Amino acid sequence: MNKTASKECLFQTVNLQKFYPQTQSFALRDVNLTISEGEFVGIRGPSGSGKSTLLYLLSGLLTPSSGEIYFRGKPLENIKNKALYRRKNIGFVFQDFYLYPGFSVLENVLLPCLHKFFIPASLIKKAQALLEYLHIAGKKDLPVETLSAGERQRVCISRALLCEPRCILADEPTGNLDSENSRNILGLLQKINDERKTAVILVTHDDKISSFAHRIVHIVDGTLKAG
Amino acid sequence: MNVIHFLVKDIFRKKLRVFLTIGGISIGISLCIVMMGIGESIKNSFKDVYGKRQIDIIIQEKEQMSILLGRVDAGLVQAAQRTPGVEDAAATLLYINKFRGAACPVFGWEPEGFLFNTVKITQGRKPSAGKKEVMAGEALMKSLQKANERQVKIKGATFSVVGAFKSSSPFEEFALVMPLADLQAAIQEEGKASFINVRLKPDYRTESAIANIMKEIDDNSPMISAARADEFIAEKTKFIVMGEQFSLLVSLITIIAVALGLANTMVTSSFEKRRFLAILLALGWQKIEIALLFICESLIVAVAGGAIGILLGFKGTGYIFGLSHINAFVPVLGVMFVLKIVAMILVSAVFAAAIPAWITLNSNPVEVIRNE
Repeated sequence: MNKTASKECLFQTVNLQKFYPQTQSFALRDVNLTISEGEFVGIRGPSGSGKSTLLYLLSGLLTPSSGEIYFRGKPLENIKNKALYRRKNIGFVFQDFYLYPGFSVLENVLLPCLHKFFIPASLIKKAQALLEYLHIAGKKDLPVETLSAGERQRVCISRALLCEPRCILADEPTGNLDSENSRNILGLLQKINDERKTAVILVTHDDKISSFAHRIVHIVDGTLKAG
Repeated sequence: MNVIHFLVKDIFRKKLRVFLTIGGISIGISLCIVMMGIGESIKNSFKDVYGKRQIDIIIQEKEQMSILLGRVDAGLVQAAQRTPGVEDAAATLLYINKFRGAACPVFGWEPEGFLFNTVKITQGRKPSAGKKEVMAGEALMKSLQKANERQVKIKGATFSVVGAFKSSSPFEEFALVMPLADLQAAIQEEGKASFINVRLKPDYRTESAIANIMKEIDDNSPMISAARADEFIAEKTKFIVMGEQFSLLVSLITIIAVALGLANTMVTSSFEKRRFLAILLALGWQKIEIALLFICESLIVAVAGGAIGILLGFKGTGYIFGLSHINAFVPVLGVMFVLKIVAMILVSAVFAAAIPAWITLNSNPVEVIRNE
């Protein structure tokens, strides 16, 4: 194990590289990054700079070409069941929401736990409480396609929080929102980070992020830049 | 709320597609039931004639394949009755009569023989010898009463229907039974029988005793041969077994077509949901759970189609047996038969789910999320 990787660290990447053979290009080169438990980190950079690739690597959906990722001091590659790792530790928030049309707000929030044959009443209560927390409980029985973009992103955040993850990975969560809704969503993520101590790693182009995140990291051409 | 609720809601979002898929499965399953049901019912009909009457040995014309063409001397009954170990013997003369363009079996039995005791008279009385009287199986009787007929013609001679009977054999439900001598006279085969039914005493129903008795009967005449009743049935029902095997083959092909149709629906559904499935992986679903999701979805569609297919199949079998040209048989579709069909449906569903599950399990979720 890397000497600097420790329990206080949520994630640590050491010389992390990702090479895509199809395009013969590096999405990430020698990325060394440490993210602490409960930290709110904004990752900024132009399109194609490797921001989203970093998120997918941290989630275990992609595997590094070289280098290491440590999760709470443990090499991520040693975690055999990546799905279980994601379920317990990671909540995803997407730019395009990826809610399931035709289903209600509540049903969409429960999606991460739908693999259980029966969903216990306690979990349904928890989902309702989350909707309450994110000020969208009044619409829990409506089909998601009837919601505004801002409301859909709230549903997406509720879904990410259902399994009480240690970390939310947000991939351009304000990319499809107007300025006011962007500010609201960033405010909500900040509130979640403050009150629940859930770490937030947020990839964005949005300049407003600097007033919400503890720290901003810049990526250009797959390389971390100081700033 | 549970995963089934979610799946059912999801499946019925595409109403037309699910309706067509369920329709295809129903038709395929009902076709299998009708085809296999006919074969099974006909075979059981033959088996029941002998099994339920405790007939152990059949005496028949030597080297004669056809049950209809074979003839033995009806007087062999007395010789058989004198054989040690034989409890009773009775002659049967079988003739196939044309009735409203269909085949109607006519049995000639000795009036005092044990065969008359194996049927239950439900209407009227037993036919008397020498009076041109017959009794009809219940199915045939219903048909006659519907047409308000009380007479039948056999080889130009008119016979009165004086009673109806319920047989232990569905094969006899659409048959006529009359005294042996009357049938012999009607078809001008005096003194002849198609075969002799032999019942053994209980103590003689052992392999060695049966073999000894058969040898003793065989030694009586070079023109006859004795066969165990079960072997006789197997020999005479060879054509049915072949038909049944053909039905089974066609049914299997139909089931494969049903499974492929279902697989096509499942693959289409999986392509439509590619991104959603990738999101489920991102949300922490395991690949095996996604595979189970496909299997559940496939099972729901297959079970819905299968249930309708079983109902249609049973109705269809009943309807086909009700048609005049094959209503000598009554459908006998037991629990095992239904279980066989249910097993085929379930196997098809799992097969249909395996293909999209395999495609999903082998796709890269990140590529799907990014590129679609």
